[in-house]
Amino acid sequence: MSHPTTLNPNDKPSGSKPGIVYSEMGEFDILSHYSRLLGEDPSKSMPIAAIESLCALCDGIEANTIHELLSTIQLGSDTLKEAVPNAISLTAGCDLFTKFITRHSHDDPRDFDTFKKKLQSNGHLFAQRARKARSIVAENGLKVVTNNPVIFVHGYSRCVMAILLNAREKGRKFKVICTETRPSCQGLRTAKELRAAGISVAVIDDNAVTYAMNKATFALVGAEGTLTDASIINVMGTQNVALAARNIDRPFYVATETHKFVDMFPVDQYMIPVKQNVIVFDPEGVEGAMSQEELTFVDYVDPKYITSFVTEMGLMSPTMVGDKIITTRLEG
Amino acid sequence: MRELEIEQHEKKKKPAFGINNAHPDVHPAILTLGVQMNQFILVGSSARCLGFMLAMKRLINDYECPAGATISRHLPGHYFSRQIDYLISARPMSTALGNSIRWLKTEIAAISPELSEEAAKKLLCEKIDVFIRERITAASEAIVNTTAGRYINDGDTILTFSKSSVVEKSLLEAHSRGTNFKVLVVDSSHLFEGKNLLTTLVRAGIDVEYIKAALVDHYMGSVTRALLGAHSLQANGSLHSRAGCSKIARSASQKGIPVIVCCESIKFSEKFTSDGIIGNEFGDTDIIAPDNNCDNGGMFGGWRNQPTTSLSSFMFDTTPARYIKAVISEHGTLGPTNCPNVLRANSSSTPLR
Repeated sequence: MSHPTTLNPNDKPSGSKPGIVYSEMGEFDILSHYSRLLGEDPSKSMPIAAIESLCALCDGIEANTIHELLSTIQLGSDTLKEAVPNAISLTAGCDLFTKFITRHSHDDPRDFDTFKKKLQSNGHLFAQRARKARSIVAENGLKVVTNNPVIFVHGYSRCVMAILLNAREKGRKFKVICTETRPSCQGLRTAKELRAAGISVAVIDDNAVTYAMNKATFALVGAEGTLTDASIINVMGTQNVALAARNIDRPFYVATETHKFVDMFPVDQYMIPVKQNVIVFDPEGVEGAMSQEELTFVDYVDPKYITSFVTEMGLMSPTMVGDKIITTRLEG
Repeated sequence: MRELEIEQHEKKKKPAFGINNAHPDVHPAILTLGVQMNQFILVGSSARCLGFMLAMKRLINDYECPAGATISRHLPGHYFSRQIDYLISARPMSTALGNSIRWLKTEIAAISPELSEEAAKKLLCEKIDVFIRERITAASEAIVNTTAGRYINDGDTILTFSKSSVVEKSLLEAHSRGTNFKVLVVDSSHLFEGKNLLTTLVRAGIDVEYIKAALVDHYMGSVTRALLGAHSLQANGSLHSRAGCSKIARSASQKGIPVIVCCESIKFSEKFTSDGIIGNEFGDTDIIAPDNNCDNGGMFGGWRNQPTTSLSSFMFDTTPARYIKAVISEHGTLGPTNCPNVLRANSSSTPLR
């Protein structure tokens, strides 16, 4: 887009802070809005918070032309992606929203005010639909929780929680084996919430994944992002679970909403767009593993280990997931 | 049984090649192209496709529509088929060539009969130029850009097999962008096309090693990526490429090395074959048993008179989709099984996209 009012994240005024959208129409602190949304509602996932922040940006900034509005959204999503260290699932939300808005931008270009109102309501509708997706995933997840299974869980995923809690509510009988998922201890959070709902949970050490897998019926994990080849990005250790499951032919299910599908194509775990120093030779002053204080390390799982995705569109094979992402790309 | 039965069967179907056997209607540009293809002077799927398009431009310029006929009816008829029959007798059709012939026929048939002959010819030539630019030149540039920009990184050792023009360009581009990487050229024993690649890379000053396909397992440990060219990509995601490719891809993917295929969408086929023999092409058996060696009573001396001996030398093989991690096309990076998605998107919009 080569337009005189094209906004560039590099043209920030001096003394600018990361996470704030500066433009001729005013400024908007998108990062703090985003963080507030996540803080207020712990059950909210990153892409939805991103979509809602972009909606708020549209509301908060006085744009006078369609172009200004679109470039503000673009700038907002770029700013947000830049300011957050692991931006994979956030990228999914931003890209989807931008695409959605752009596709509808040609609908009625005559009257800008009506257009803007329509666009904003579209944005809110989109956010609302995305929020609703998880409850549909929970409903679809019942298809895999059958015949009193023992479910192997790793990390903390809102989708997995939704499925398990829904299954419990519907009277399905099952048990859960859950890893601690150190150092973030996400697994302990999972175990605590499940036990509070009356589900029987065994918490195991992260090193006991292969030891415990024999007792599990299948593995169920969430995903931060699902990529074009249907590989997933999730908390470190997910690949261990996938390999352990494959080794003794346990199905490996991934519960996720389709708004976490991202059009990215890394060919191996070292190409994922997250800067994490997992393997460092002879670091100064560090004796053990590299610390994960700033950022929880993420892992990459190849689609060949994934049995099926549980999404709001039903159970999807990895090929179907790839198909969906590519079709969206080709539609432009 | 001197040759495999299947080979004899294939040969029976094939009319003898020669300018003498060509129909008088065949245009001189097509005649030359046929000889170049037959003699392996013009090799490579994209190069053959490009050569065909340029020859067709000359043919269209020289073409005169007979009285009482329209260009949109007469040109794609018998006259066109004779050119194609001659080319097929020179060398079996490739997917890219088939796709572009089909495109050209549709374009000719779609010409409005109200257009004057001159205007129609001009329009066709312009369309061919756009086709060449969009589907061949720009497509390969886009692939080179993606490959060099994202999939060749500092410290990589890139394995490549035989020679592919787009892989060659990607390696040169990555080198000119200052990426520091090594290349391992694995050569097929067919046309030794790897030697051409080797020459170009050495001239460009890239750190390169050259080995025969048989040694590939020994060297695989140090490889970080395998970049392969394509003859065609089939609808089920399997790759049809120079014989030996399948073995290399399997060896790499079993060691966890991502196998990446660079392939323009013109090479995407809507068909697929159940094995590597159907639709294959028979190369010269001389590479297994050179004729001069045989005549002097060498290892294979007199094999042609031995009823129990047969030699066969396939030009291509089929790599199953499970050994391929990614396909880089002008539509971005795809999974191998996404080939039909692109075909569908192309056919639903205008023929050119």
